[in-house]
Amino acid sequence: MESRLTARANIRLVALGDEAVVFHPSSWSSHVLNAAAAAVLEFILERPRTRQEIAALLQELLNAAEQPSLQKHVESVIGDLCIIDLIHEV
Amino acid sequence: MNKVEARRRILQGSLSAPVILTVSSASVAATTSFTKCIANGVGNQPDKKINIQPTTDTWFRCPVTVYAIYQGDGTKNLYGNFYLDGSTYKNVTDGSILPLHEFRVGASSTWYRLVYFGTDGSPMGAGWERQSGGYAITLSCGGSFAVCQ
Repeated sequence: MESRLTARANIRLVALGDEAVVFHPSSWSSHVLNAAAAAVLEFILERPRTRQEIAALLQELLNAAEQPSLQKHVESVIGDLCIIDLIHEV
Repeated sequence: MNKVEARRRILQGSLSAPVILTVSSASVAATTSFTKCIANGVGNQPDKKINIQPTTDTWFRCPVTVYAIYQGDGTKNLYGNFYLDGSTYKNVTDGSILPLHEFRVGASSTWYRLVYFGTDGSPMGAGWERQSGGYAITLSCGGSFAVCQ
């Protein structure tokens, strides 16, 4: 079965326009997410998502200039969100 | 269509690459700094039987009112120096409780106790000499907060 990415419990997300600030109560750290990263986290907060679903979301949202690097962006944003422990793979 | 989906539709094809920035938290920085400050002083703790009266050293202290206690009714027989812990007089030398039933409280003066802190910055107690828990810190280390009441 394909793994899914799920958000950590208790994180606080505050939308600032299209961007967002996220507070992680366990690590007591705060993070600023630009619009694309915020959309990905918001997408995962709705329910656990597969990498394919995240790729589809970014394909829909990113501008034409970013499309050739789509896969790199998918891996990068997932990796970054995992490193700061906002999401994890289940 | 919910609000999030509507926003995604508006943003379609307009976003640049995802970016995440970590913001430095002031409280975390302060805690880290304080922990480092305590760590620096661990190998340089005050000796036992440290002089508890005001000195020129820089240990973080709290003022304590110390009373001269006399035996009987007069002020001829000084029994010792005591501080009030709740409703009990305790000897500044060894913490023993004042055993006398008839005593006279004489002049008071301000002495100081060292304050001991845990590595998280919380005060763990105060003492005239080295404690079993926590570390004494210098004034420069504890200068960013007030503990003494």
